[in-house]
Amino acid sequence: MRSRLRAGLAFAVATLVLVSPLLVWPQLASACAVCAAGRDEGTRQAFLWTTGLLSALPPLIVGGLVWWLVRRARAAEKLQTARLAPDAWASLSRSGGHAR
Amino acid sequence: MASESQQAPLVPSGVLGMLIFIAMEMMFFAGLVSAFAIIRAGAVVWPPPGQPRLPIEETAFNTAALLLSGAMLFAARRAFRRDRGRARIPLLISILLGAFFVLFQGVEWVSLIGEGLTLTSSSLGSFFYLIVGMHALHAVIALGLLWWTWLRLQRGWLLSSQLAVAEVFWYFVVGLWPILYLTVYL
Repeated sequence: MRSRLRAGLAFAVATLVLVSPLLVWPQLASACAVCAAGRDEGTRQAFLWTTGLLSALPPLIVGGLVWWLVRRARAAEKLQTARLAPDAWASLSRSGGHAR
Repeated sequence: MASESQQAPLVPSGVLGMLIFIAMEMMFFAGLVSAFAIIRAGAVVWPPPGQPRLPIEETAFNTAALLLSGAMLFAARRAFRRDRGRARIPLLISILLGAFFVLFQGVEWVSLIGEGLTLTSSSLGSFFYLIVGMHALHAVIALGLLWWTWLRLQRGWLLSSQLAVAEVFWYFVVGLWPILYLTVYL
């Protein structure tokens, strides 16, 4: 599970590194429907920043939510292990060492 | 097996649902703010000629009231953990501050309309009423939710998860406002 996650993350980072140089030369890739509107520097910058914001927001939101859920799950797991540990010990000693 | 089925959920369903809804709303507001930023960047003069200047100072005061409302809700949660009854006053103050924010906005709108800023007067007017209006709509709905939690608290029926749902929504409304203020007003 972790190795898959790492591989996915590495792929995402590699893609970002390969694609990000295009941001430096946006005039080479004026393929969007509204690029004609961004002739002046101010509008071009606004398009650039808002495209970045709208692209980054969904993965940040979903990633943040998943990260928070995983953290909560781990904390709950730890708490449950701490609570169950004495019971498990008692049940093991009652059954003569055979876990049920 | 029985203990597994009795286990409390990791996140209450209501809170998870609200978080997903807020994720959607964040994208909605990001779209509005992006469109506004592009229109503003393309304008030669801002605010457009003949349009009034937005009331920055008054709104800064109103922003402080809204932030204080968020802080009071945080205090209400802390009190709720210790003794439920003690959460009543901070929760009520939070609601009153939120209501003050919405009413202050209403007064501000009336004065701006009087000065000639309307939905159709300019791109500033269109975006201002759309963005700030959508935020106000969210604030009113969130206040309704907070009021409902307060009533339940009064009757002793309020669950921690119900308070959490209202909290998440109100924190979204409070947290979003400074971003809108910086983008639209300044």
